[in-house]
Amino acid sequence: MANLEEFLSKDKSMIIAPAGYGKTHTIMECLHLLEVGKKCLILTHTHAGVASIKEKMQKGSINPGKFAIDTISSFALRYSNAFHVNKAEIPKAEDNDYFNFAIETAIKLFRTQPLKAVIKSSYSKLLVDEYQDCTSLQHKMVLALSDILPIHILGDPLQGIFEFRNNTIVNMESDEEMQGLNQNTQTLDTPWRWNQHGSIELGQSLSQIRALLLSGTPITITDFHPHINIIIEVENGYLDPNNSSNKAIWREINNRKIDSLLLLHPISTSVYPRITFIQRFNNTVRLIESIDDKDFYIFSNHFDIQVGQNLINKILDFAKKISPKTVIAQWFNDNGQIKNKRSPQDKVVSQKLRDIIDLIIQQKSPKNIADLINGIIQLPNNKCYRAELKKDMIKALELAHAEGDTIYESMKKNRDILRRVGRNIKGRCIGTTLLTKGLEFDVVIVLNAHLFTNPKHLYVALTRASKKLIVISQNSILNPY
Amino acid sequence: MAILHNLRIKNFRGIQNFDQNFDDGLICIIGRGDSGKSTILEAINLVLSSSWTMSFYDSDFYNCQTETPIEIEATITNIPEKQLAKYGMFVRGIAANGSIIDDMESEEANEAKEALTIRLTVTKDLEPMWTVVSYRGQEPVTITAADRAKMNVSSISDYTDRHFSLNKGNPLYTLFKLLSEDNTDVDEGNVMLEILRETKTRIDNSIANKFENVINKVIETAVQLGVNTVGIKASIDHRDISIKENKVCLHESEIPLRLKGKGARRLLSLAIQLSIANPNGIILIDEIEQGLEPDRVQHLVAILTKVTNSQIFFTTHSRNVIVELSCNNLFLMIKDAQNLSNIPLDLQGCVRSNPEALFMKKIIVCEGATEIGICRALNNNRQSLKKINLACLGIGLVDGGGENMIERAKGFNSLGYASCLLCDSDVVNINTSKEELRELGISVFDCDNGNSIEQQLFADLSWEQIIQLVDYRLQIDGFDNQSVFQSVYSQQQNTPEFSEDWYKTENKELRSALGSVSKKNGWYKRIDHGEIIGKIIFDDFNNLDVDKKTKQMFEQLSSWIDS
Repeated sequence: MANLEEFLSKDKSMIIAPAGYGKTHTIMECLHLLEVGKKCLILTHTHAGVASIKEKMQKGSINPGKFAIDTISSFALRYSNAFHVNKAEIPKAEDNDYFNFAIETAIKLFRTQPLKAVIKSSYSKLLVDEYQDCTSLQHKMVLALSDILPIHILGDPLQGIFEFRNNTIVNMESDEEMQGLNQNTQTLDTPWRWNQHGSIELGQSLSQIRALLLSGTPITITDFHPHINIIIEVENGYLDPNNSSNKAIWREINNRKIDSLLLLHPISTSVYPRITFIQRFNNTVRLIESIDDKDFYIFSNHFDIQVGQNLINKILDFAKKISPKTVIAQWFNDNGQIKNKRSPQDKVVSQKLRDIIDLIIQQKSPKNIADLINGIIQLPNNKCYRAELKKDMIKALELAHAEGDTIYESMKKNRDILRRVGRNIKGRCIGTTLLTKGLEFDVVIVLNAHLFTNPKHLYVALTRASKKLIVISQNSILNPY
Repeated sequence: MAILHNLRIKNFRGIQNFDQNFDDGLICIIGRGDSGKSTILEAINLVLSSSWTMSFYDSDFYNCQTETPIEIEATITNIPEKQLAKYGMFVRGIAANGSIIDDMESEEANEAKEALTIRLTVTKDLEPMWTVVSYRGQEPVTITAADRAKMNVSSISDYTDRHFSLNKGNPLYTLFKLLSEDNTDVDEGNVMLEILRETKTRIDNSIANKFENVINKVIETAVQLGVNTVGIKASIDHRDISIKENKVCLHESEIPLRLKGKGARRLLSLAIQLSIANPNGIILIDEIEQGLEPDRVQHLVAILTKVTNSQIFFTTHSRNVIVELSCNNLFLMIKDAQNLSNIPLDLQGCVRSNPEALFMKKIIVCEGATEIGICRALNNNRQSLKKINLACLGIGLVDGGGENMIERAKGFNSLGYASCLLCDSDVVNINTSKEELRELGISVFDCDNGNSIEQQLFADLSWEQIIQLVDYRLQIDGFDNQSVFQSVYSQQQNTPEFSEDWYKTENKELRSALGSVSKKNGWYKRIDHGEIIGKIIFDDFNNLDVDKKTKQMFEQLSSWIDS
């Protein structure tokens, strides 16, 4: 157990918290130790993180007057919006530099004597959670705050995998970059997550793997069998129903005793390996979408701009993204025209689609577009592989219809809400490390484990499992460096 | 302790626009009646008032124009921590030169001091609204009366009676809390409650005996009616003896302090305020000399100059107050001025010796004692001629202190006093500075070039008057006629025979000899001497030739006085 009195007594100190080692619990213990008085400021990265810490504090009966919690970005935004004199210069919420502008402004502000006085009179100290996720700019802001308040940070360099557009991430292992924030470092040493779930051996195995990853040693994954279930097979072998991994996956999908199952694919740059998986496994798992996935915005934009047959073609392109092309090809020709059908039932269906299309061509409206998308998805034998993308698109179309905004605007509004509340991820899902970071699943199956090229991603992948971990790999030695 | 750094007033009573920075310590605001001194104090009192409501009237608006709202803004530094945290998003900076900074990203903000601006707005609905504001385009937020109370402003006025009761929010209550062993927020009502419970028990015991017979009778009848009553007794209903701390007030033996004399009440109220060691706040005292003898007010001000943990604003019409203060503490309010004027340090000595000048409209800077005396004589002469006297015209006389007179005349002029200089012309480099004064619009009434006032008089006056001048000289301290004669002729080549009436016949050489020696020996360099020679001049002023400089000098001075 880390010595929290010591952690809090230093002006600058750090706790390294491996995944599942009770980081949020540690924050709660810290607040227990603090006296009532000026608030302790807690900064984290996501609104979901804020919500989860608040919930934990409430459960731990922490006096809410002891702390204030916010995301780093919102904290900076409050100051930037209040203090930046030329309001016209403040970027709009949808602009790419929205948050960076706020943080840059806040850095300037926190270097002035009056703001130092305000911060000092408002807070006793600063705790920063998930420090490995700080961008270099956010890190600069924390350094500015470290001139005003005692700073205690929690994080794990091995989980620093967030990917931000055009932003670099703080390197927690660099003394030069950390400028003393890491001078009093302790490491949490109890794998609470696995101890609680009775999977002590899994926890110990992960702890050993962590040590190997930190030292850059190749990992003979088979050494950890059976605490970790290892299946050695050719790449993508799990797609073949004859292979044992395919059977193992089906077993977990059909296991009603587990609450949550996650399939992890190492490739995050393309969604197709995951779509393929969903198709092969009969749509029994759900795709976890990234709220920043460009598909959301590209198609919103198309729907705003295009008209006539071009618009119909874009809607069909969208349909092909979320459902099997073969079904769509049965009903539409290559030019996006509805095929003539013979059977009376089919004629009813195609006539219905034709009516909607005519309406769109005559008078385009977000509602008509939504009707057509729903009509296509409901075609006989059709499936939707990307339920979330479809749901969000329909939501945006309905919002645009109701509020009169563009579809693109509505999609962004929706995104901002999601950013705030976080996506609800439950049940059986497929995703990537970036999309599931910080989450916990009963059973995790890592696909194509040999494809990981970054130790941090591999570590995050393996540590998502709280009860059972299955690793499918082409090689028995993983060398993700 | 909170410090008022800047005060801005718009459309409040006699002030249309006002903007003034202050330092901490003593701030004595002087000025003629109706110039707006008390309005400034009242504005500070209102904008930082701990009352949650206040009554306003149409007459509180400048020129009663209710269309333009009243706006009073107080920019405060040394803000209590809790309030700074609460209103932190509105923090502004004070640069080293005292200017207020809103752009906290600017370079000058780096070393600035933190400040908050509280604004009181009253629109024509007469509802006051207190907000914290910045000039960065932020929507102002309301500031509660409780937070304003933390700025700790107290006003020592004629209505300080409430200062003697233990009311919440009063300085006395604050002091009570500070001195209680446990000064946290718990159990505010407990002190009184415990006392009341004890009291009730004692009253009840004595009541019980007195009403015993009645109660027994009631019980008897009740039993007959079939009511079985046990334990009925007479006692006082709790709610009828509920006394809050605000009913507790200070007494001198049996007499409540609120019935004491005005001066004593004001001093006691100030004493309570000053006893609150830390944090202390802003104290406002209108007309500090009220109800106090000159020596007591002088003593009070001397004490206040040593108070270090309060910012004390006061107004005065008393010279006794001004002599105790340094120019740094003195601020002059001129009607319709947009800010207060500082008294330049050059005027320090002058203000100490002529404090009443500061209450005037126009000032005659006199070169020295002789000139002051002459002006007094001029004033007496005006009164005998039924002309309005100098005091009535708001004209004061100031001793220029010889060579300092140029700077003093400039100083008073810069403060907005219409100023003139009455002096002679015997020092060359001073003569050149006179031009400078005239360019500033300061009238200079002086002698012919090279002449001292004595030389000018002996050259210009009738021989009758000269005889009176010498006679007066001979009277002073019983001067011996012969030695005066000798000193007059000591510089001359031809000394005539001495006779008792050596000066009785007109003689041109004698005029110049008398001029030189009276100047050299300082015959008339006292105010009382000046007053006599002035009388000699003005009693026969009409017969003085218009081409004489003396005639011109004082005619011009008279018309300046009347202008």
